[in-house]
Amino acid sequence: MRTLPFKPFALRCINISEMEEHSEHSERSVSGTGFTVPSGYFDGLSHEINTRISVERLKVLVPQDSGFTVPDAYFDHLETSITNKISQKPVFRLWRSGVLKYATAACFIIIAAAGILFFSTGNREKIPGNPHADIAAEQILFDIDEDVIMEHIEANYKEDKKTNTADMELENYILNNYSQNDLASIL
Amino acid sequence: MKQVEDADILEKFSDSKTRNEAFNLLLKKYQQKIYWHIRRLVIDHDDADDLVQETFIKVWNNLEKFRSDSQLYTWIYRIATNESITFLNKQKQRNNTPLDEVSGELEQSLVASSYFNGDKLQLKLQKAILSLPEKQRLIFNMKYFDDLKYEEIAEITGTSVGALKASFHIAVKKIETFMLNEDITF
Repeated sequence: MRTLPFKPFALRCINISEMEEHSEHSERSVSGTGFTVPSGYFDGLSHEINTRISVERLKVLVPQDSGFTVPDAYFDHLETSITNKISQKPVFRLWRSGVLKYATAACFIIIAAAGILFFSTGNREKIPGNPHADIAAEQILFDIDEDVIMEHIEANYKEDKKTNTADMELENYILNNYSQNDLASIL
Repeated sequence: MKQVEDADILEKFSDSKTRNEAFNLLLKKYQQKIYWHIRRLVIDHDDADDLVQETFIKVWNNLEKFRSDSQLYTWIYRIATNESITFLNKQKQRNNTPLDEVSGELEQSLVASSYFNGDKLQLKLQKAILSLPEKQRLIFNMKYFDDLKYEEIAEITGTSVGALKASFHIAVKKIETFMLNEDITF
């Protein structure tokens, strides 16, 4: 026979095995009356009664007030503090969520990539631009003396030629001094 | 004084002209309950003060989206519980505290607190509660102090009623043992 271990309530101690036995009988007796109970109800009933008795005893023993206190008139000011905070302009916190953080990073990458692409292709292709700017550029060329333009073109041609000559000399040197096998092994 | 019904609060809140009035009614109705719920979890008054304010600011920001498929007060309790648990987890991470030493820190905070004037038995009960794992402590507090129904606690914690009953039973037995093993006769 198991009894609850409460000394002050020794006279009213509960025989758990008797209670379980009783609950089994109850389950059988209700089956013929049309009444039903939730499935497994009697399995946990003794535990639940046991728990409630312990709780009731605890409430008798220890005052229900938990012993915590608050500063004077705290709850009078709490409502005002909350409403004041709510009425303040909300602060937008950037990157509050992880998703937003990664989305922002992705946007930066896309913008940077688009920028690089734009400028790299921009050097090769003339992008239809502002007609006023084209007219202004033409006006500048028109104002420059013809001889100055010719000298500039000739100077650039010479520089290109020099570069081409230097390249050809280097090519000839490599072909004369290295065999095809040597070049293949180096490459 | 008759307490205002949740349905009335929600109806007033849905109208922009009476929104502030509705929120003040909600604050009057729930601020103390929510404060004590948080306080029992985080122990320190200043922490509880911050968290109760955060909770109601979240309530204000999200009340418009609140669907009446759950009860208003269980919804507010859920927000308060999540805020408190997040706070405790951050505290654990910040102090790099192992899980079994968290109760020790909270106990120190309880003893050192100038806002605890409980007698020997109340202190012992709080120590017993702090010795429980976080979830059991949460369930015990809501059942023992707030007298919530299992169905309501299930809505707040997202745990089944069966599991809650088992947890509460275990928590009560642990507290009983704690009280019995100490020098105070239970």
